[in-house]
Amino acid sequence: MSRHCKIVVLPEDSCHADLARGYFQGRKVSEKAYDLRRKWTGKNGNNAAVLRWLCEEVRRQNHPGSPRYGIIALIDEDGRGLGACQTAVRTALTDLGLPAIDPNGGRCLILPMRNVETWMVWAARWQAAGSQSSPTGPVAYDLVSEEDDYKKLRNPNGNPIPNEPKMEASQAGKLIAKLNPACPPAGTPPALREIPQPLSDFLHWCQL
Amino acid sequence: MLTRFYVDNFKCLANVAVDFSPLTVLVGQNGSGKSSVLEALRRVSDLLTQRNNSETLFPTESLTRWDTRSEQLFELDVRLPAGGDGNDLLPAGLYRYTLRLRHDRLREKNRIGEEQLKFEGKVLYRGWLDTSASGETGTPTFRAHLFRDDGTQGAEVLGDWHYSGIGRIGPRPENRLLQRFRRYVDHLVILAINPASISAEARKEQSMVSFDGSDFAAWFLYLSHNHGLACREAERKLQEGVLPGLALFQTESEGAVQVAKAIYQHKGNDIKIRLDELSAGQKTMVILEHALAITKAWRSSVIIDEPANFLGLAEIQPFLLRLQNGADEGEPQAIVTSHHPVAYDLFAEQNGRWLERTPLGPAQVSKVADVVAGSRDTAIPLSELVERGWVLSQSQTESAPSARQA
Repeated sequence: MSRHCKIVVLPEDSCHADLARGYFQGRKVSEKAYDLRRKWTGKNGNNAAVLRWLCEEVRRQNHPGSPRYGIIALIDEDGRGLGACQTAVRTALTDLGLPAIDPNGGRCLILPMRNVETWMVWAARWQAAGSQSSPTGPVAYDLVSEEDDYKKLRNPNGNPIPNEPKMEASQAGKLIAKLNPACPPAGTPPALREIPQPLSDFLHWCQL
Repeated sequence: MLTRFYVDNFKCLANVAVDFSPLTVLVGQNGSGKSSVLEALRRVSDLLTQRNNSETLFPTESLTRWDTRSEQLFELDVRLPAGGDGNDLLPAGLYRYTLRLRHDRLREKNRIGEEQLKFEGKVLYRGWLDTSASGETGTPTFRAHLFRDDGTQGAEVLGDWHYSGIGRIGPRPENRLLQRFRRYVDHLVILAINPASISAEARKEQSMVSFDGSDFAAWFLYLSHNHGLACREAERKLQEGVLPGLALFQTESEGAVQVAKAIYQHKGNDIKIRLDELSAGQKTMVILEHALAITKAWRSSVIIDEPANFLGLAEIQPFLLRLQNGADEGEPQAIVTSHHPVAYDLFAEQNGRWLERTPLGPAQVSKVADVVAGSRDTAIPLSELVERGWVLSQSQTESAPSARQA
């Protein structure tokens, strides 16, 4: 049906879309191999809408007549807690009798703490400090706080934090594509550490 | 890259400035002025590169219909990075090109009233219509001052008021800044492809393709002789895309003409298909791929009116993504107009310029991000908002706050 195993990307906002595009560019994935589209207009995304969209795509993916294709959903944690977000996704899929998120089954979930701005700030700091890739350190920059919201520029107490330079989302995506999944550099935010391996497994499943 | 284009008194563009980023998507309803922006750019570049004269490029009909003024003004801002030959690098900086045309509506004629090129505020060239020296005949003269790269004044010469003086200045060691600007404009590829008009035949090579792509074969002849690597890159992309199984894309002699052909191999035989025998989408993609490959090699800009026209659905998003990816890398800069939903949903919110106009009114330009900011975040893609007529400019939003509910 298709010359490629398409990857359907479900981004919440334009930063997600750019991050995914940069990642694919970094992994030399052809532009023809993925379908990147937004279903949302405006500055702030909507994780409930992406979750509904994810369920719809997983249902389609498992339809006997569907071609083989992969799905990547990007959903911000937005202060709800990583565990709670993962549970919400798992429950939504289970309730509909759909298979769970599994990169080795062509279903991948990217869940940044707070939002992808956390990773964009980390990428800018890491690069500014000379991009040391040692997994054991030393870390020559201030670690990013996964509790702070670098998009709304607020800390967990609601106090403002400085607006510091962020790496472009697409550039951050390229950088993530270059990270060694087995041993990311010291100082990599914990939620980001969890991403390269599933993404590699996912691309492997997609045979890309 | 092009950073700004200002137009006054050209078709529906009256006192309009458009800012450009590495990728710019011009969107808006039919008749909002998107194509006019590109057409004006093409005409200014044709004048600058001596492809034509001011009377052919800017006839009286090109004046804004409801405007009684007889002067047209164009300003082109181009920012170029540091570069040059050997150790003698030219500095990075901003060029501003100004072209002022004076029309005689009764005689349907025009003259260049003023032409000026500045680099970082420093004049490199200034030509003007000198009416004070008209003497007994009453005929003005066109004078031009040349300036050296160091800012000192060079020769003063008499010019032709129908042609750009900048295009006529020969390269010299003291005018490298001016030549760099000219080279950049020379390499701008501006297209509004009409597949039906594309000929497969060329009698001689041509260093630039026409606006509608009709003489692509002549351009391809030039590219294949001078930019083989870019042609191979385009060929590779065509093989991966709309011409799977393509062995070669090349020209062949047929008597006095060269004919562009797609060559396939079938059971050990060559199957040759002339360019004009390909489908509309395939012809469009052949031109787009070559335009993309060569502007990347030239480090210039590719400007395309409605690139999604004629392309199959599976080709549109990958092509636009390639424009975005290329623009992220800094080359080539891409400026496109589009009505396609992918262009709206994926690119317009960040890189879009929204054009709109009232009937018989001037076009107005705003950033799509600002237009969308007037609406709430909504679980409806931008393309659907536009389709439903729910995207309003800020001025409309302010004056008619209940319009969306209506």
